[in-house]
Amino acid sequence: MKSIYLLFLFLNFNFYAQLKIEYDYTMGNHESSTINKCYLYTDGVNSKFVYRRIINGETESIFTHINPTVLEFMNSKFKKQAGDSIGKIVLKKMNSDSIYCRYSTADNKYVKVLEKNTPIIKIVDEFKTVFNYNCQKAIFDFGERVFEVWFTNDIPISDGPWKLKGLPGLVLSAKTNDGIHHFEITSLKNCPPFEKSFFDFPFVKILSKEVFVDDFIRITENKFKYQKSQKPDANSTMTIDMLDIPKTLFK
Amino acid sequence: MPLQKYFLLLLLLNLSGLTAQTIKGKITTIDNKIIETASIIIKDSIKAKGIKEYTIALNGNYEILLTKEYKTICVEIAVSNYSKDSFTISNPEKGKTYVYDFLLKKDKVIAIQEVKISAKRRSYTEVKDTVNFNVAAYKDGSDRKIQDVIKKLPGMEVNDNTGEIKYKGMSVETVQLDGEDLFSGNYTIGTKNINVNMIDQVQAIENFASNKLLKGLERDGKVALNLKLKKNIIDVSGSVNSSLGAFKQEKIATDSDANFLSVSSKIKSFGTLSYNNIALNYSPFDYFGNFQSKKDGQNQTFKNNKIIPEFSFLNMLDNKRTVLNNSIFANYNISLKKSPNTSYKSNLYFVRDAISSLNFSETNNTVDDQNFTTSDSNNAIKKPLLLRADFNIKSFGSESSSIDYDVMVSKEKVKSKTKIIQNKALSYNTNLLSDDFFLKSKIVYTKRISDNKAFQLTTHQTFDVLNQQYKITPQESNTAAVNAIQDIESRKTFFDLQSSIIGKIKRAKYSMNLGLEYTSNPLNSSLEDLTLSIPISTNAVVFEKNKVFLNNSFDYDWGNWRIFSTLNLSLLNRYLKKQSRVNDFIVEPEINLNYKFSRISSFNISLSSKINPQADNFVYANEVLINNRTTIKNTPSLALQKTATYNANYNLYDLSNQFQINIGINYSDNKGDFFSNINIDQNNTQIEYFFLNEKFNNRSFNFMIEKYLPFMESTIRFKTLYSISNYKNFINYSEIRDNKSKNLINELFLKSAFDGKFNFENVFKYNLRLTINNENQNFENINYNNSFKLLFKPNKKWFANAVYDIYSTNQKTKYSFIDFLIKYTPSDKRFAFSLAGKNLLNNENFIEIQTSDYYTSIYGSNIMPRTLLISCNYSF
Repeated sequence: MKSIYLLFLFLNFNFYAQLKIEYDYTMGNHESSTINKCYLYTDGVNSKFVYRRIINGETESIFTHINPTVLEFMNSKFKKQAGDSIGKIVLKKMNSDSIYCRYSTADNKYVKVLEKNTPIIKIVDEFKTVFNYNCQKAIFDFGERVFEVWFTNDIPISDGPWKLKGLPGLVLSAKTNDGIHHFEITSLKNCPPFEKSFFDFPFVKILSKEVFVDDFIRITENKFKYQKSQKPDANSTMTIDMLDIPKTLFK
Repeated sequence: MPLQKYFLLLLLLNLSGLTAQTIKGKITTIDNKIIETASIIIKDSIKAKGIKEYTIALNGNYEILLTKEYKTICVEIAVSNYSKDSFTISNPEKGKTYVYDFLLKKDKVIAIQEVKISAKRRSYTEVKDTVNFNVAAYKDGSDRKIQDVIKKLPGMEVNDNTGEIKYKGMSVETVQLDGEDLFSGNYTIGTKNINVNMIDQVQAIENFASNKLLKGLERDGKVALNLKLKKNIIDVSGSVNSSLGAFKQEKIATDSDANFLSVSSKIKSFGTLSYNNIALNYSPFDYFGNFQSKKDGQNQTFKNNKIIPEFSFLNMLDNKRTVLNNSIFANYNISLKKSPNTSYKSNLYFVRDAISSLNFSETNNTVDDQNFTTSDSNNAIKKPLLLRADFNIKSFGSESSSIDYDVMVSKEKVKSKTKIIQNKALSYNTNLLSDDFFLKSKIVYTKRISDNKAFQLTTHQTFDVLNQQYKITPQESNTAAVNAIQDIESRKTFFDLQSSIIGKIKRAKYSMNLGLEYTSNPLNSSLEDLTLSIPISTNAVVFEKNKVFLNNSFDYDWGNWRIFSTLNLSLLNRYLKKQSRVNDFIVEPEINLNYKFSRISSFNISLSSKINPQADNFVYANEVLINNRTTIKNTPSLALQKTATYNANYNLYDLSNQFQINIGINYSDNKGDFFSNINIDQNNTQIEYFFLNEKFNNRSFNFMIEKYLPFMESTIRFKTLYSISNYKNFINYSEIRDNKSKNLINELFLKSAFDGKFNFENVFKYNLRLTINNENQNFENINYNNSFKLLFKPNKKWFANAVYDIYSTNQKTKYSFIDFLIKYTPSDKRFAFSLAGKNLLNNENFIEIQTSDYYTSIYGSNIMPRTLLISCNYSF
């Protein structure tokens, strides 16, 4: 495992407040998990968070499973995809509560969803070093999910991965209480100014969050019912545990 | 009612609003830019670490209503690319509104042209009691086995003869493999045979507890290593190495070995098979110099001593230059977890060798103004054969109790043949056969009674039979020549039973150990003249020892101070045939004081008093022939030796600054020992040991300093050991002779760590031994050795080194050696190829000159001739 450090050299007359931060987004547990590459582009005013890209027909993901046979199946089924995709996107404006997200519906259409970001944020007197930065702990309570995050005031950008913004510093690490969702910084570097068009994305239609969630759950439930009809005697269950959707269990 | 509650709540809220402060203001910049977002944080002091409250300021305005009361309010603003600014409000007034406008200045440190570099993984990390050394950071290309890297790790010392490892001056208890004690204490099997490419990290674990049921109760200070395998090591991994080459006179040189490692959740196993004739020892047993590992040394308590010593190949040179061998070593270790509570372990060993040496010695003896010279030329070959099996079962009866059962069986046969030319006149053939059978069984029952107490019951049962037969016959018929056979048969039976209570009370740890021991050690010997067929000397020794003991220890941790004391009481009963039974009551106290200046430095003082029953090795009263010249006998005595030892040490291990320093002084005062009366003439030497209640003492001083010098990009280490020993002897029925021996051993080590293609390493050793006899005559021995190594690494695939060694003894002999190694590792890292050459200057003999209080001797031995080897290594 290599550690990648950024080295800032002195020089020039222009400076950039724009950062590109890479995170590893791990979803799963010790038995089975998916590690996705994520990117946060931010200048402290506008930010764009990208994940689940498909580049050259391959997802930017690593699968792990304690059963080698299952792992082989996952790699063969999910690693390769038809076509490319710019992935899911979360656009945030620091001076408003609006968040625009590019989500994939259950029938694989990309939509623009407007969200209001209103978590309850609380700062805690706990400290540790993450990625060589002194960090303080904070709690983000979204209601259905609670995140424990570590942010650093040394980088005074009120931003973080996914929808985690609003702290007086950059979020370097975040984890849900159940341990299923985990963001961890892996790289941090400056970049040239972003064009205005950078903070936009293509989509099929605009939906409100409620409509998007209801549609997603409805379509997924139909799929579950269809699968169950194939094996009526089996004790089938299906769980939606994605960040964009409230946790839902079908029995 | 509900309305009243509502008004009360509103009133309370307003009241809190009335007491809390409001802080607001504008944010502008020196270059008149609009700040769209800024972080305003509240701390309760200037140096406070944590943020108490905050707000995000938008579009150049901020306002924050504090929710808590503070004695001091520190308000800080942070904006990207602008310098942080702050102001402080001392003794803030309740309910007041404070207005402060920030004027931000550009940050002088301008970040640009970002450079993304891939830094090397840090060479080590520390987590609590464990230091994790990353193997890749310490490899230099010439390393093959993990022992080669362990030698380079900071704080580690590896004994070249036994392979034993010390970390920060403390002997390592065990070396585990991925947390498993696969090698059962014979860890050199792993360190000498596991390929360096399989290991990701070497972990040095301080305060190691071998028995998890005793965790937290045992005294701290034990050290262990753990070899962490690389993540890509799958179910079965291994390597095959084959080296072929030639010695002078077209004799084939070879070094081939194969090993495999099998890892799964329930079974771990490691096996190795090797064959070489270039003086490499892959086994944990040393038949070159008869050095014993710590584990074998512990077993020696249960075994008979070999009265007739086998041939040892010892001189100043590294064994790899002087020993000619044909070694086969096979070993298999397996650890099986039958269930979560039961595990089995087995270790099997096979060693077969044929070690040969040509040497000569010429000794000029000066005794009571008489001078005479003796000489011996030896053509010796030693053939050891060892079969050994260790077996262990560990079973947890419950979460708080366990039983450990260990069994060891070993059968060893060592045949030594020598052709001797004595005094350039008499020629002999000698044959020595040492046949040893050893059986040991040990049961340990451990019960964790509570968080603070545990009980242990231990018993050993051992049985050892050692037969030695030494036969010396002249090559030509000569009535003056010795023609004799010496037989020795000794048995040792040992039994003990001990019960221990181990516990802790707050900061103190204690242990009480009550037990009994029984030893029976009969010995029979006969020396027969084969020409006349008459016995010359016989011994029939009956020796028994019984002991009841109570050993107590107390360890108190008092912040930076640590006090450790022991008090051992025993009642010793010994019986030697033809002597009356002797009972002794023995008291042995010891106290250790340790003071920690910091996490990395400490000072230690210890005082101890020990009683040593020396009699065990000096029980036979009649002569025993041990070589072509020498017989030994004793005047047996059951007297005890008393030793008082005083020690002081200072240690500093600062890994982060790569700086170590150790200073120590030691003084021991002894009363009583077995001294030797040596009678020498041209053909015979008779040594008689007898006990004298004389006093003698030893003093020593040691110093070591090691530091990485950044300006030179090099590591420098200096070690010195100075000791003074007083000893007594008798030569040819003289009066008691008081002798003094002063030893000075110095080592200077320098190694570079340049980023370029070239690096070097130099080790200079200087030894001085001065012996002063009772007539104040001085005898001086000065040896020095310098070894210079040049390393060349042009890229990741190629590596080369060249070594130049110089040896000198007493400034009268000087030898130079040149060796080289060229190694190529292709992109497919499973393969590696190398070409090695040793002793390119083709030195054939090595001569050493030594002096003592009564002799000067010249000792010469043959050296492994010029060798070229081509190797291929395949890893899977």
